[in-house]
Amino acid sequence: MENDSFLARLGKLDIRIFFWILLILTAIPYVRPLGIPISISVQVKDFHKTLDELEAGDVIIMEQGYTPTNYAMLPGGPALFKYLTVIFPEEHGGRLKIVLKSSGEVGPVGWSEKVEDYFKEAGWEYGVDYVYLGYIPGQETAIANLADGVNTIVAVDYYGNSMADLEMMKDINDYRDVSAVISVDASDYPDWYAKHWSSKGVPFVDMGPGPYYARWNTLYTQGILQGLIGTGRAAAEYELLLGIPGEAVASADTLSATHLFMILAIILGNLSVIGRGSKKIGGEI
Amino acid sequence: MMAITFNGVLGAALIMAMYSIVLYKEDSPIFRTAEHLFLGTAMAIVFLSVLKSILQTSVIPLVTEGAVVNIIPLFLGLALFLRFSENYRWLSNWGVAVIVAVGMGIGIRGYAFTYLLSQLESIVSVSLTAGGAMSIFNNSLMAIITLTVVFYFLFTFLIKAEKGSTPELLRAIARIMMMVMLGGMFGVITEGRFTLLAGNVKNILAGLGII
Repeated sequence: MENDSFLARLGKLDIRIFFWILLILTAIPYVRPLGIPISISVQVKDFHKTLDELEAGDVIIMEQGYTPTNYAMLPGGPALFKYLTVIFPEEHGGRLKIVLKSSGEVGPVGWSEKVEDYFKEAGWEYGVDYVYLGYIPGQETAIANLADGVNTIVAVDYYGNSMADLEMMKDINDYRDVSAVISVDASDYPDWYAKHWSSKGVPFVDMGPGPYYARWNTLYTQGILQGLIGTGRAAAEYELLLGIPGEAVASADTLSATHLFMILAIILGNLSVIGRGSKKIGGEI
Repeated sequence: MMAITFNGVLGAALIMAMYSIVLYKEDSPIFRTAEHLFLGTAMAIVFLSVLKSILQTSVIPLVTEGAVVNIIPLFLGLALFLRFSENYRWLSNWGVAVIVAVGMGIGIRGYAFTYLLSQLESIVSVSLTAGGAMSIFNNSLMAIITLTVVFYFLFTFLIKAEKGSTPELLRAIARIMMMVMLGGMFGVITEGRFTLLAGNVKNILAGLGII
């Protein structure tokens, strides 16, 4: 180590230093926002346009995957729920009919902890304006069968109410009665909705995290997804589009700071490799 | 600025405890405690969700409404646990067979439309002349990448690529494009992980009453 150049020694720094710097850089923009301007992408505009074209009284199926494990990865969730429960009714003179379900076991936790409050605070009436079916096991099989008959895969909702007792469920039979599907999740569910709902002509939009963006953007470019909020930055764009900057916009500055740091780290790492030369030292280049 | 509550401080402490694996030391008691707490809580939630679902969809209709047909899925589900028995392991195969068969049947149903026909249609219908300059450039690039990568993975007949030949050039272009694609995927995945980090840091700051 004593004979190594400065660049070579740089590559041997304790990695914990980089992680601490990353943590601090992530925290600073929350305390002192940088206000970096954000342009709105076409996927986000299409996401909003698809929902905006719906009319009051239209039925939508919503995959409720906004859970404690996904809150951080779906910063646009609050903006979407606020749009559906407050902004849309104001702009369209009436509410949508929303049927929510969860394909993941933790979905009901997110529902009872956060999502349900959006509907209650906006004065929505359960059973008339919205219904939560709870966790429905079966994953792709359940989603496929849901398209063929909503009332055939569940007999009761999350609260144990029979489908026959829920006013809005009486007019919802299969995919033909549904005007759109929204998926808010961090899993493979958009793949299954694309195969079994979008293929039947039902408009489908997705809000998901970055790691899945490459897969769902492929579906978007093919026209199978009619809108996509696939990254944290896209969530910030959506908030700005709606005019309700919040969690996602606040995190956009942190993304800029951390990405710049990552680029710097990559450059330093490569310079370190150059500094060490191509000579093998104990099997390590 | 959020008020400081016990839950907020506890949440912030547990998040930092989970991150201690990279910030402090691997395999410390702090990290282990937080990890076990998380796993235990998550498993409990999953167990209760699944149990509620089984009771609601199968057991209660069987008992209260006489839905005798529900005995079949209940039996097949319980039979899966017989995999741990030497003598009755064969019964679990029935449950596995049903799961695999139904899953494959359902999966194939929409696969042709989503991943075959739609992709072919979007590639074939790409216009190399319509739209602005950026649109023409993007469509041309998409066409070149599609053709070169398909050529790269063409194993039906052997094409000897000598140095400087056209097949070698096409394969080189395909390799570069695939590396660019993988790099782009890495970037997007990294962005997703940083979004997760940002959310957790926000929870830490909010829990400590800093924001």
